Amino acid sequence: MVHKRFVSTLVAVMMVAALFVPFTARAQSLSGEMEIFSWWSGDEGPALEALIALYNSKYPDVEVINAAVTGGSGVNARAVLKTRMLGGDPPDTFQVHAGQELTGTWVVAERMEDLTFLFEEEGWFDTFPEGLIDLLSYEGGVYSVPVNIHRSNVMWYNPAKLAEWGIEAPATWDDFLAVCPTIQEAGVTPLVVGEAWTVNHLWESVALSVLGADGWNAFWAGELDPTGDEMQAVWNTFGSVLDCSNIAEDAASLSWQQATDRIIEGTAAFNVMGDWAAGYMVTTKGLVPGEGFGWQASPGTQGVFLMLSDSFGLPVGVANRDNVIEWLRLLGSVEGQDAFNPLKGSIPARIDADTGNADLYNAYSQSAAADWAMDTVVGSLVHGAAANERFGNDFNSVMEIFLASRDAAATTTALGVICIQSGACG
Amino acid sequence: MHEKRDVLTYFEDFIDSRLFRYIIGGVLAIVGILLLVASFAAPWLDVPEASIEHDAHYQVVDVPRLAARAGLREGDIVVAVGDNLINGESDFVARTTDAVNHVYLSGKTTLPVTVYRAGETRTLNLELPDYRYAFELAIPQTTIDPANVNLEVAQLDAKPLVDPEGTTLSAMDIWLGSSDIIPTLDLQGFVKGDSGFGAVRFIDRFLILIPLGGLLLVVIGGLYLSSRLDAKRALAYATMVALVLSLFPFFWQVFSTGQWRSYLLDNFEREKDVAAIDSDLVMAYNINQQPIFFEVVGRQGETAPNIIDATQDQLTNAYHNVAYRQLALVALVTGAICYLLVTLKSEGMIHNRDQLSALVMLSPSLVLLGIFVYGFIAQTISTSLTNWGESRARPALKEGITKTYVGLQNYQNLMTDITEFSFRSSLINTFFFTLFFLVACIIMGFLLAVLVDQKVRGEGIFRTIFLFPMSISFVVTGTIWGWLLQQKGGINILPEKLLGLKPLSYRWTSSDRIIWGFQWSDVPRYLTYIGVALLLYSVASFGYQHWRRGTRYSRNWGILWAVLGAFILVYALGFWDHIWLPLDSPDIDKINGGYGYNTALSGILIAAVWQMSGYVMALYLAGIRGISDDLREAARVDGCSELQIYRYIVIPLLRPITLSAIIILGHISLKIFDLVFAMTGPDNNSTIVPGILLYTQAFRGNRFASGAAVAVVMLFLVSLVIVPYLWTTQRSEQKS
Repeated sequence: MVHKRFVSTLVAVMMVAALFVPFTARAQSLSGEMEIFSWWSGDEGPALEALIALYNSKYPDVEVINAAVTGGSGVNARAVLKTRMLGGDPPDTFQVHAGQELTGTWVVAERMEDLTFLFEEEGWFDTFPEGLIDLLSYEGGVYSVPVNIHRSNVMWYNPAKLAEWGIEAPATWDDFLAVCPTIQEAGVTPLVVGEAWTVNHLWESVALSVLGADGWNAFWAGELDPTGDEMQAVWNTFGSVLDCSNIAEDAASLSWQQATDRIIEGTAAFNVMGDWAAGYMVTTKGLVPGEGFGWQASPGTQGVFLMLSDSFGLPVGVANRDNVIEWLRLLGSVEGQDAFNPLKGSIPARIDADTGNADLYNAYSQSAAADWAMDTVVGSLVHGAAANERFGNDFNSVMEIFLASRDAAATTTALGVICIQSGACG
Repeated sequence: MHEKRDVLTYFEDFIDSRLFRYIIGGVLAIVGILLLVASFAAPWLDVPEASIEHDAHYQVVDVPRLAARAGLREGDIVVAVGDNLINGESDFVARTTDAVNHVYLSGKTTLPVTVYRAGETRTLNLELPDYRYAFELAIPQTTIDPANVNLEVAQLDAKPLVDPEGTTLSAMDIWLGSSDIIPTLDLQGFVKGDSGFGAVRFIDRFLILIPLGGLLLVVIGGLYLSSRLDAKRALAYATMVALVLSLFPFFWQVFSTGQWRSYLLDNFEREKDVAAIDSDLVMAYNINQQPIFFEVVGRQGETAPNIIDATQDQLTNAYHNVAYRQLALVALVTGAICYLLVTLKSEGMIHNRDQLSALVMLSPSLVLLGIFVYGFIAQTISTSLTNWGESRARPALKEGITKTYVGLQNYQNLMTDITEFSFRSSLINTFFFTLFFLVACIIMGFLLAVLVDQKVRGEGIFRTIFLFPMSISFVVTGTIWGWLLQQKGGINILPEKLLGLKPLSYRWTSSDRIIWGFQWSDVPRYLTYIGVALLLYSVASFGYQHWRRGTRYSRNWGILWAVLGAFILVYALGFWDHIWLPLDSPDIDKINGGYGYNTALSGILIAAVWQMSGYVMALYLAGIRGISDDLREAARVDGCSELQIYRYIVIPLLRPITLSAIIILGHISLKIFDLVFAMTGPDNNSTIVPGILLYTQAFRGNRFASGAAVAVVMLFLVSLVIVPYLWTTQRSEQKS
């Protein structure tokens, strides 16, 4: 530890010294390669390419290797990454969800370098929200640089259709359950869900509304009994909400995009999905935010921002450490965040980015950025912020137990078990 | 013809010579004698007392995780000593619903104590003057009311632990508590006896294997020396004995943990008296959760004799470093090399240059196969017996983490743990999927083959069309069929689009309906019934045949078989209850109707059958073409109808093809991953299969040991299909 601190202090001193060297000299001193490991390809590829282009314009001698492994949420990339890390071949830097997916897997395994020096040099402790810094931290160190922010607890709808059916977006789940029969009578699915993970995604929004932000945090701190009355209430509410959904019909065969399509078509009324749905509707479907689609915080979670964030870290013992540090510096800068996020459809993690610029950010992003600066920030379960990987994986079993039994008691028993086994919440 | 005598010939003569026999037989016998001598001298077993850490004192505790999992109820107060509850890091778990709630703890001088109750946790650090002292935690009665969560834990005076007769425990004692000392404690896995406590001493019964192995080697060597055993057999036996001996530390390490656990708990749950487990092997856990074997040697009131004990690691190291293992390795290497030589000689391969060079040419691929297939299978099995990724205290991806062997714990978890619901679903899904996939592919393939065989025009085109799906990747098939089989699209809206009828609403891949549902805890019973019925049938038919022959000798055999059958019956019934499935988790059956044939598999079956039935057609077509027309003509002349020709000529002759098809399709369906992943994704319990579960558990959930266990189960299932096939083909090859 002492040794490590010494090294990081030394590095910090050297970095500060480097600041006095003219910028061009610094750029020229970097050469060699840098391998960036991520799961951004396809729709998300251009955003990463923009960042790489920006990096190359500053450090033309560095050959950037874009090692992207496709698959949403990194389902495949994370497996490849693990075999590479276990095999002693870490990529120079890799994409990881900020929070427990980073700390619970890699930081506790002592495979990441502490980036506190970088945060101090760049003044990032003031430009990223405190809740986010907490998620990136473990025992006093900060371990990755967040690039973007997505919001998980958003409810999407089609304003024109809602007007047609004569309903309004519900403020609470009780409101939703009250309006549910009306929607069903119109021959419309009140709430559309898709394949397994989107059901978990819905659950975290329902849980957040029943427990509140404090209860949600208490749960992850191990202070809320996972088998107690509150958690059973979560599952009971969730069960009622599911009864108003297409879970018993074709949910399992829908991707999240297909679920979103139902909202646009008007065959379903509401959908709870992360705000990448906004990117999909704007970019792929060509809709105008506020006209083609409407949004609000998912019922009962107004004023709470259930976040997830992509970040990049510095594995221990990489070949091109200096190149990576400059890459991370770029990621955390206003310039880097404003280059990346408009293309990705996310909002910058920095609160001082240029989100007021309507050329860069659309109406949805601007409203999300406003919320990001004001709301209480809590971490997402499904997307690796609040839950470690084992919990995130085993939670699927808990969900299956609930779907098979619809028994809140049996489900919470299982939840209690995985809480303790994974150590995520107990 | 006079043979040319070269080096190899002399070598062959040497293998046949007496000198060879004397040398090898002598080596085996000497190694055996050395093992015998060494095991009686046993200098390596004296683990010096000084090497024992001061805090390595032992108490009998349950595996806390099991206790808490099985035992916790609302309103319970759980006291956990140690860093955390349940996951194997806690030293001690007590559960009580008693109104007074005095809980006595001991074991370490500093105890972080956590008291859990619904929604409430209190942690305090207790300072004990000595591990022999216990603390009494008084939990006020008001807190028993679940509505009142105002939990207070009072720390009372430390009291020295004494036995009922007043003897204070001495520093090296290992104590087994009893209900006399701790009257209000309802401990899981604690000895509930009346005789106080006894001093216990470590003994390892497995050590008897060493002199036994030595004796066997002496006997084998002697028999070989005196020509009562031929070289091949003697060397084979010796090699096997040496293999067991040299692998022994590994077995000891692996199976001393998981398997014996249930044995021990079983005894405790029956409130066995400490006195009643007289000179029995008792296993307890030390504070590091390492199991220790004890033999009860002292009784209440007796003076505790000297106690030799050690942690598991110390013993394991001792085993690894001792001379006997090197001796066993010498015997192993000698035996194996000589066995190879003798076999080569007896097969005439040494003299035959062609065969020898063929062997040399083959050896690189044999070595590669040995490492990359069989070596990795062995590594996977070994991983599945560890706790890699199961222990919170050891991050799965840390470099150089220690992986502790836990025996069959992972397998037991998969079978019984409430959170492993998905694994059990995957087993059942695989069963139904394989069954229907095989039946459908074989019927479809056969019908297609018969149709194509009807000398139709453009046969080649049809053949290509039917075979073509096989050339597509399962991922592509899965994606396209996934779209086709959506509930509100694809096939379901065809009637509407084409004929203007009402669209179908069948949920091909998204159904959650389960037919032929059953409870998981019934499975062992059904399996037992089936197994016992098969066994009884074979015993009965065997016995009956002997009985009928009527000779006295064979009648005795019949009786023996009947007794054996009855014994197995009794054993099997007890087996499921006590060993394989203790079903310590009553929660398992809370999931009502979760197991059975899930109709969402239908969609996947359609896609799989679509893809593979063309292949079966090709197999059958080749088979049908191989049937001589003479046979058909002869049958027609005898007045057979076309149907009868198929029934009595074609189908029986195609039996080997059917077998091949079953093998090929069977292992595809048991290992299936990509098709299901593409059609319904991971985490979809209705259609989950072991391959997907293995992937998510190991590479997403970081539970590598559990994932390896799933992999081993898959390997076992596939080998159920493959091994009988290899066996029959090898037998038929030998026959021909």
